[in-house]
Amino acid sequence: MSRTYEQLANLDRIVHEPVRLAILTALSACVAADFGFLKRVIGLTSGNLNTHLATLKAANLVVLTKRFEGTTPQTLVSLSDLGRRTIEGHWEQLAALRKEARSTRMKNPRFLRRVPTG
Amino acid sequence: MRSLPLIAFVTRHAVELQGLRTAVVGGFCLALAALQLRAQASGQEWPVISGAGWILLLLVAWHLDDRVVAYYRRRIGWVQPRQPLIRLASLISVAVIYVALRGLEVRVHSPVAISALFVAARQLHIGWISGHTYRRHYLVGASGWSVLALAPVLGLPAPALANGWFFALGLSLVCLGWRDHVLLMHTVSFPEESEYVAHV
Repeated sequence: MSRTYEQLANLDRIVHEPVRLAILTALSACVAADFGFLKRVIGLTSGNLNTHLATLKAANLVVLTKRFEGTTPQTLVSLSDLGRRTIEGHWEQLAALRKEARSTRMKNPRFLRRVPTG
Repeated sequence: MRSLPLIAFVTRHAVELQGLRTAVVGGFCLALAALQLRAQASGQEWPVISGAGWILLLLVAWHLDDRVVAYYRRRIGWVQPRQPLIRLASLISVAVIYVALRGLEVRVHSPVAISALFVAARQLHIGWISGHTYRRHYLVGASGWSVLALAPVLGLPAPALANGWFFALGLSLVCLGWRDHVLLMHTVSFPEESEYVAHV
């Protein structure tokens, strides 16, 4: 297996899953957001978002805080220190992979044509 | 599910995209332009508003802004932006530079409105140079302000220029604010419509 494929296979599955990557990316762009905002901005149902947040919380990547806004309960979600480091590292890893894949293609333009499809 | 760059952009700029707040400020500028027009019609140079009148205006603006913030919180939820003090400082510095440039161009009788060029540059930055294309409507604003910068060259009378300034500022704030609002609300449309089911 080439180094690029090896690196791809080693990506953190908890972070790399599309919805969780979207949640972590959104949270990295702010200090904290409430459950309703995350649900709407990513375009998920409450149940779906809840399950993914539970997975991220179990991995210590996010912090959930419950509070009351008047009489309305509100769940605030923010990145933990580990979460912030992890998502930043993940994007760097993806950027490096992309760079490497591009240089491989430049060295061997027929590289992609040889990759079996389907 | 939406694209990651759009998600990150809207989350980062969620407060700035609350365009109805900008539109309220624009509405006040339009009201001032109308007051000024009425004052000019009755032979005054500037509408006479007492100190209590200004305080009342500020209180109304404060209340309206509060209602709009509550509306957004209800409709899109709550987000705490990063570096709020830097953003506030940037907003204040833009306003201060604009007022200073406006004073300078009146004092030196500049043939080109430098303050309008400054606003155009700022909007060009938001709409294009900052690297995001989601707020391209600011390019229309930038073009409008660039044209307005040449208004003194056209030899328009001073009262028309002064009134036109408030009108242009109000109109651009209302239009751009409305487009920001549409962008935000379009992005945070109801999630129940999403068909994406992820493997958990």
